[in-house]
This record gives sequence, structure tokens and C-alpha cells, in this order.
Amino acid sequence: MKNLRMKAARAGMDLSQDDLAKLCQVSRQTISAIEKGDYNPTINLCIAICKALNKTLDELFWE
Amino acid sequence: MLIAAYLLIVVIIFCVMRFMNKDKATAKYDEMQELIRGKAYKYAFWTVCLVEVGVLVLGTTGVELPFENETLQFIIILIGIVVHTTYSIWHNAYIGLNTNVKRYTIVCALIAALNFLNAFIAIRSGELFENGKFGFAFINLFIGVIFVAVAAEIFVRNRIDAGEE
Repeated sequence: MKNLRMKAARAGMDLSQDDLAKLCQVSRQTISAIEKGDYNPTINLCIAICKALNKTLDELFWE
Repeated sequence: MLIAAYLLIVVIIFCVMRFMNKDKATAKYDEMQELIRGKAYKYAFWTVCLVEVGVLVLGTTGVELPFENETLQFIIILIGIVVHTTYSIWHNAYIGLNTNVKRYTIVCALIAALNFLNAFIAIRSGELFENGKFGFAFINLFIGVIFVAVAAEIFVRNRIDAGEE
């Protein structure tokens, strides 16, 4: 399932996938796969993404 | 003397790896890349097993492959490597986070050129065939082709990725 909340939060901070990937120390393709719902990140990566986007886990990843 | 030569080879490999990666000799991958690479290793392992069994079965049926035995074993290993690299490249898990792509391409081109040169010398001197079968020099030709194919795959994958976001 697509993660549109994460995509919206990233776009809201005016960050590209590449920018967010650098902040989280992962590849751009990993960020792309998470947004498209092709990859379920580990809790460590979820936390890193939340910190980079100033959001909580609930806001970005909880149904 | 031979040990010194082997040590020199190890040092050269370390230096080349350090040249290709930005902060350390080994490539760094993120969690998704590690997962994909694990699958790639699995597929490569089973491919090698299957090809090995296929060769054994062909051997029992009397079919003779046009390769010397050690050449054939090396080719089977290389087929496994091809499966691993191709799967990794197409799933964006081949190039590490700290890999300098430009330097990596230079190293690939150099290795391909050296192998093609060796193969060319073998063809010129008639050493490509041993006892009517492909000898060990064929490996150089095969490795050269692999490196060219890897470079082409990376190029195509990057082109596809460029228009993605």
C-alpha cells in the first residue's frame, strides 16, 4: 500500500527523495520503494524518517 | 616468492576497493539493499547448484561440452556471479551508498580491457583452445564480456531511475 502521508510530509518540507535519503543515510531508491509501498522499512528506518520529517511514527506509519 | 606475489595481489585489490568507495574499502548498503543482496546471493547459489547438476547429468548422457574441466568450473562460478550482479543491479542494490560510480566505472572498464587484451593475445597465439576445447584463456573473454554487460546494465538502470521521482 502506498505511503502517501510520508510523500506529503516530505513534499511539505520541500525535500526531494534524494534529500530525505541523505538525511536517513539510505539510497533514494529505498525512499521511493517505501513511498510506493514496495518495501516495509524496519523500525529503525521508520524512526530516522520520522526524525527527518519532524513527524511521529503514528502520523507517518500507523494505519 | 609466490606468497609475496599473492600478498601483493591482496594489497592491490584492497587499494582498488578503497579507490572505488568514498570512506572505506568495503561498500556500504542500506537495509533494503542488504535484503535484496541476500536474495541475489540465494538465487546465485541455487543457479550454481543447478548448472553443476546439469553439467553432471549431461556428462552421464555422454554429451561432451566444449570446455576444459577447470574452465567449465570457473564458468559455472561466473554464471553465479552474473545472476547475483544482474539481480542486484535491477533491484538497485548493486551500487553501495559510499561507492563512487565514476571511479567504479573506470575500474570496470580497466578490468574489462585487461581481460579482453589477455583473450586477444590468447586468440592470436592459438591458446584459446586446448585439446580442441576452450582453455582457461576463455575465462578472460567471459570476464571481459561480464564487465561490459554490468556497465551496460548499470547505465540502463540509471536511465530508468532518472525519470522516476
